[in-house]
Amino acid sequence: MNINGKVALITGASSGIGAATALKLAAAGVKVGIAARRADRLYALRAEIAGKGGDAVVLEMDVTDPTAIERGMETLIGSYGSIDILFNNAGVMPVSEIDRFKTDEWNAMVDINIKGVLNTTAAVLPHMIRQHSGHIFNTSSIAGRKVFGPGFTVYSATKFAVTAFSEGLRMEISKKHNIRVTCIQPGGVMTELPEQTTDPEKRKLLDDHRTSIRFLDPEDIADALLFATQAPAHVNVAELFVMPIEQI
Amino acid sequence: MFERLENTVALVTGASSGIGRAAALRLAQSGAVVAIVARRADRLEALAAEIRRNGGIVLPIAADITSSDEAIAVVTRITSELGRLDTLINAAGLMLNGPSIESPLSEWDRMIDINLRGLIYVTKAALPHLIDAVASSPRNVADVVNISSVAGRFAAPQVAIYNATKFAVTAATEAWRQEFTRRSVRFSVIEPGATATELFDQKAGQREGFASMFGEVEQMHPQDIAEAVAFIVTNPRRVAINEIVLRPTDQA
Repeated sequence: MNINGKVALITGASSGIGAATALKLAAAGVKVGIAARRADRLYALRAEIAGKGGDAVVLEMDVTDPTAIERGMETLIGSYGSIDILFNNAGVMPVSEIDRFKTDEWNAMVDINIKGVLNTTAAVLPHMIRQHSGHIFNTSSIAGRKVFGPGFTVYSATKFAVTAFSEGLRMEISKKHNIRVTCIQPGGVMTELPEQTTDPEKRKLLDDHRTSIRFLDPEDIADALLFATQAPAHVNVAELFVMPIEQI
Repeated sequence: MFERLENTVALVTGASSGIGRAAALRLAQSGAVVAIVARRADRLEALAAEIRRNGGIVLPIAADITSSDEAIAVVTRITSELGRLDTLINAAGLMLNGPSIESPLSEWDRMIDINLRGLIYVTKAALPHLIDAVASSPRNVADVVNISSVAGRFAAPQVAIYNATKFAVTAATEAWRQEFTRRSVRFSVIEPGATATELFDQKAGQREGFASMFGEVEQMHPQDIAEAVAFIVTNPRRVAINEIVLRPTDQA
């Protein structure tokens, strides 16, 4: 499917997989709404996209705030008139063991990784239903396929939720509304994810892991997303499980 | 980003029709030398002629891989005639669904033979050569892509043994992946939903059975699955696409 001229909304676009995907989609002719909390990063990304001849609009928004999402959608629709691709990519992974009771971090994961996906989907879906087409990508994780050990329990729980929501959403809207749903499940990718971990021991574990094996580049995940969205309209790539070759 | 496959050799089973045939064409298009394997020699010759017309290099081998001796002979012939083996696509498959009380045991045995035993025999014979290929490969990687099914993820009435063989393929692929990924042999599984191949025609009533579950569906084409195969194999070494589930957008 030719995606030139289509419109995308990418959450978590200020860095990592979101930023890499915004650049790749823009290079393929997609007009991108780049959404995140850090406006300075988004303006820098927009400048980079514009410098390469692409088209992007900055949407300063927090996915835990439905009002901010509505505002972002108004700006996006006002700028480009429609929305064809939603990439629910914003996510956090503060790692700590359960008996440390870092409940604020648990709640942040539930709010961003789960509710953020629901909030953004709720704001975008009516537009896609109206136009009877669209493609929703949700970023799950290898931790959304198997439960990781000590420290990753709540993160795994939120990513299992994303996997389950993606599958149910696909069942509900793919045939009925002609909207494709893809759940991307990456392994280790070079992003800012480890920086959210406040526990020094766990932070060291995360830092050591990404020097012990060659992690994927964010662009590798962006390529997977492009593969799925460029597939013919009658093909729905439901799940994509992508890992560094050295990750077991 | 996506690489060419010149100077590599691919073995495709089930190449006489459907996904295997489309995968062979697609890999040849990316520059791979392809060995095409199936029982029906006339179909293989026709495919070989098509690949040659497109400028590709092809070795057709008529064989029944449900015999371990024949599976070994196929791999031996490829490595002796073509010098190496970099990519294995296990696409041979058989689906004979129906009520379990009425279904003859012979149908179940045939599914186990083709979907599971054949895949295991070819993979076992290929493994040492795939590991050898990594060392001399222009891409430093070898690939095994197993064609499972959404029936390898979800069980359904009257599908018991097909489900069992495809769950087995999904499980074996994941175990092999963990065993061999650090030796640069990537194992991937593709789990397609309904695809317009001969699969539904392998037993009377299967088309009607599918229609009663899913209604009218615009099925995927073999080429759609072949694109997923190419996406997996042409990714650079560092990127392991472990699993892809594809369904018709119409198939809820």
